Amino acid sequence: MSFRDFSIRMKLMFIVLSTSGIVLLLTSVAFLSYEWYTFRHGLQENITTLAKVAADNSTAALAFQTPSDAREVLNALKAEKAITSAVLYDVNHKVFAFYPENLTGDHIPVIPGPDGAVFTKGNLIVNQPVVQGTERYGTLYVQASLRGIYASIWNFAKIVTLIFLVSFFAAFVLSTILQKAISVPLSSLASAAKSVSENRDYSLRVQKSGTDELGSLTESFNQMLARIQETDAGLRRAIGEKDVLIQEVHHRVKNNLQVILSLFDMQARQVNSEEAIVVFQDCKSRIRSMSLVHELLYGASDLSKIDFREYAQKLTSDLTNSYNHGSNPVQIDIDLNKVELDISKAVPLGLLTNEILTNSLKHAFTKTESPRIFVKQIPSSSNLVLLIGDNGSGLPAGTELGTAKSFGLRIISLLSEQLHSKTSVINDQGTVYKLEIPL
Amino acid sequence: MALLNRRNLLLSLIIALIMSVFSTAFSQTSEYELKAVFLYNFTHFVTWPESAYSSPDSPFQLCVIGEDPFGHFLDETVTSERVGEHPIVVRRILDLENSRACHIVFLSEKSPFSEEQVLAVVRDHPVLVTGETAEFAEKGGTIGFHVQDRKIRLQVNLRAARQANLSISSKLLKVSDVIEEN
Repeated sequence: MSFRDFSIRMKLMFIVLSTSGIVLLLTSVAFLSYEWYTFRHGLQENITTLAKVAADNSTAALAFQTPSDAREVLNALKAEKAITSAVLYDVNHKVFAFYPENLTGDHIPVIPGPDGAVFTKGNLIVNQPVVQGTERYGTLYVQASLRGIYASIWNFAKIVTLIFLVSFFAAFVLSTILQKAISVPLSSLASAAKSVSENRDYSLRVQKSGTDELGSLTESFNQMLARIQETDAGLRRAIGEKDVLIQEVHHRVKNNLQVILSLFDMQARQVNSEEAIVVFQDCKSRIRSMSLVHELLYGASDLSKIDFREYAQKLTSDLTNSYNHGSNPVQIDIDLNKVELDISKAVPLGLLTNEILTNSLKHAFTKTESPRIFVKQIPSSSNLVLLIGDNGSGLPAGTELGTAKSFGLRIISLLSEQLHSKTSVINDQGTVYKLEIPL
Repeated sequence: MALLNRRNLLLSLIIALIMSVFSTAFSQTSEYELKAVFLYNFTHFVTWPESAYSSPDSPFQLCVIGEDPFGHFLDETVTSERVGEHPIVVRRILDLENSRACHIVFLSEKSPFSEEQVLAVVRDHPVLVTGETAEFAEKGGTIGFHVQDRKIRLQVNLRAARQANLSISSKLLKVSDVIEEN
């Protein structure tokens, strides 16, 4: 999980704590370094001063060869606990006196080092020249232990660590409380936005936390929600009105088509010609298939789409009732998934199905024992593939869809073009039309 | 056997004698070498008044009265040394009257002059009078050398120093036996 994916709360805490942590760490390191330098410098100053005083007081002892006086002078160094040993050399680098009295040979350098102070591992070494006037009488070697400094630094480090921990904890507590001023309004805005997008509840409002940028953001967000709510209500109203209107249109279209069907019925009763009656029946069947689309549309929840399976069931049922085969009823076989079609496809496909099945019912079953019509779907990812046909006697030999002179087959060909369908006829144990309609 | 014993004894005696002579000679040398250095060191721990010098660059005179026991040590010790701007010179005094111009006077044990004679001549002059006889400082000398436990100790007569208008560093007094009054 990268830093960018942390919550605002975590980010704020991280920023505050890392900033204060680094600042505290740098301050502690600076303090410790300063103390270390001060302690060392202080010790060097102190020991050098003491060495100067002792050297100055040792001049006469060296000049007049009184080691007991020199020892007395050196013994005074015990006032400074850091001093572990001191050796007074004469001008020829011979040991003249030393402190403490029990100092062993291994702790006495054979000759003193160069004049001045130098830090070695764990010690400070001061070589102080013993001078009276212009005459140098020897050198005072003083060794001081840094153990005291280490102890002081260690104590100081403990205090600094404690201060660091307490300050860090204080920063943690403060940031936990103070970050809420930013993270709480932001997270309520975020959860409100999420809730709005999930539930489409535009009536939601976020409580304003103050007059800062977050406050004005919250206010803008609330205003935006109010506008969306208003627009949404308007749209819903408009959609409702449109739905009612469309429903009304479909209803009227269906009713008008019913009126046309009734007129055709009345007209058909006035003619005696068998041929004219068949023409009326075919026209009625076609109008019925269109009327059925509108009937399903105004009854559907979505006024722009119909379920083709329901359509096929109603259509086949109507057709078998119209073209009754008496004692030998036609079996209907519908094998379709739920296929939703909009009106632009539903009307031509309805007419097409009507045409194929009407042909089947009118011509196919003259010799068939158990007549059957069917509408089947072949699963396909890109197209709607349908097999519509019968188990009848099949089309006369040599009939081709594109060149047929039959009015029904021409209608089938034209409607296929309108649907951009790749339509083929399989003339094997009946007539089967294979339609491949792009969706 | 007895002869052998006597010869051995003789040999031992001779060796002992030679060793004692050498040892004495060595210790004498080392003592005066040290005293010569001490005399020079006094110049760092004692301050003479300006009136002690006839001119700003007149020599600082270190005078030996009587037989010189230092040999070449003293001359070697002070060669090319100075007290301030004043070059140190060593003088051997035969006539006591000349000792008034000295800054340090060393009265050797084998001097023909007594302490009293010398002190009488340099009285009230800024001269540091040193001597090696017993109780030299107590008799009025400024600083006396005396050997104690084979070590040279200093005795300082503060009154004499004050009278001679000499200021002696407290550091020198610290390593010396101080006598306030004679």
